[in-house]
Amino acid sequence: MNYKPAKITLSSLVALIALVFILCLPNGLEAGFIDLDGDGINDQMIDSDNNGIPDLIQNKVAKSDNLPMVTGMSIALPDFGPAIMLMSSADRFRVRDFGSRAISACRSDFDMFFGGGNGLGTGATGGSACAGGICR
Amino acid sequence: MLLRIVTLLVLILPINSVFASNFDFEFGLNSGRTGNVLKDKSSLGDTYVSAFARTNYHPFASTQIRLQTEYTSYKNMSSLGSILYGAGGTYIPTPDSSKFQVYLSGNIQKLEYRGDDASLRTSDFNSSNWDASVSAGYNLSEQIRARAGFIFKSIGYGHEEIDDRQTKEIFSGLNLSLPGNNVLDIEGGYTTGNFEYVYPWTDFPQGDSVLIVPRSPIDSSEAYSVLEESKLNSYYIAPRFSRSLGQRTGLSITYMRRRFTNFNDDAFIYGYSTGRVSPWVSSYEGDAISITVKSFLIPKIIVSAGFGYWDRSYNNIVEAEAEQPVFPLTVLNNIQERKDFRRQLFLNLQWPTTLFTGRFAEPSIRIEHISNSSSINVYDYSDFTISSSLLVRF
Repeated sequence: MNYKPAKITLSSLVALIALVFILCLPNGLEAGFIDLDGDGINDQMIDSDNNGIPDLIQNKVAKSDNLPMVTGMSIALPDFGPAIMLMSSADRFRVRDFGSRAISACRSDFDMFFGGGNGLGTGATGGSACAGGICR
Repeated sequence: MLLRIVTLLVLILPINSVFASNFDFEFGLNSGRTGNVLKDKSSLGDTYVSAFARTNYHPFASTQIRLQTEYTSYKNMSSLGSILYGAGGTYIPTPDSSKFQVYLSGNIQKLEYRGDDASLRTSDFNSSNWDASVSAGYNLSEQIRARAGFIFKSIGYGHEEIDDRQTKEIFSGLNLSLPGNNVLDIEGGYTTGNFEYVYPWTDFPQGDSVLIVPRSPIDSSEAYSVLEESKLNSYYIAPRFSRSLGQRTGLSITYMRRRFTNFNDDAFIYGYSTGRVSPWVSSYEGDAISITVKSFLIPKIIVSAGFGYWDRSYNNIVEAEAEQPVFPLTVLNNIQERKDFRRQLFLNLQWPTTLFTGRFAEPSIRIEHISNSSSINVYDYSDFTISSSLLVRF
């Protein structure tokens, strides 16, 4: 491998920040954009079937129905009201777990958070931390 | 080993049907081809298959207890096959509607390699890990959310002469919703932990004074007995900027700076190619930046792609050159600085599907390319991996 390493210089970082601010233009979506998991997708968009694709994107609901009021740290499930008590413990835990995603992990292990996907193959195989062999 | 997976499934499925409302179950299969299994100059490619099973039990809405196992098998490098067992629990006492959130979690895992190739000493790298964390968050306003936490981790390797690596970490962060569908998230943390290393100098009494001289060559049998104990501390700061690009696409840019606060220029550790275990071989300081995009533009498919760049400096290290024995180690002649520059690209395609039975299934494909340029020849490598997987949840 003979290439000159590209150092992260202060000037390149400033250029990147400038690009980011150029991108900071309103694009017409509703106010109250929340992104606690850092994927760039509004966490407030309801995903009632928990498949990772918001209902609005799947054309399951009208746009006006897809953004509930935000309470607590955030929630992106329909307002169940008293009916939440009829849900299984597993589903109710999933609601709490989603609301806690900002505090369930930290970014000190930068490699672990880079890579997208569903996490399959990032245990003893695949991923950026372990490639089947010795994890490094 | 596969029989254990099947047995676990046979036991879990009936339980799941009886207590269906409190259990959920995940099963995954992953298969791929990697061009560089060991992520080094050897560029040994292989095909692998892994199977994963996890069951989650929720006795209450606030609690999850989980069991998991993952089995990996390689077509050619069979000694790198492994099985991982794990258990864990999560407790979230605060309701989701609360402005104040508390999150407690603990996990324990055991990783065992097949280790039937003595030359790779894979059994020395068997490990038992456990971690515990407690974190809290508070919604200061609709736009500002604060968080802080503490994590304890312990990694223990199979070799009896290697002490467990233990780290304690504190972190805190702020998430800010800015105008124009932009979010700035800033996080920082500090880590402290034990550190075992070889000190290349030794005291040599000379009359009433002490002369510090290079250590005499180290034999293979002394590799671990000469280790000295200290602390290795570091801090990091990691700002992240994210925003939507239209309604169906999200962009995320993350920067991280990590620095040791007590780096010892004189200390060195054994690298993987020496066949000796050093739990600190992956500890580094440096800068990293990543750009990822997640998109729903293709109907029913989640597309995510990203680019990452790392500029890393590791502990001073000893590595073997090809065809040359490492021991006896003539200390000062073999210590090297390790600096890596790594570029990584990935592309993920996921097809989440709800089956006619109401179960969830998600086939996915992943393509990844890594280029690593290092000051140590053995870590100068590239790798291309393509894999497919299927996740089923019910």
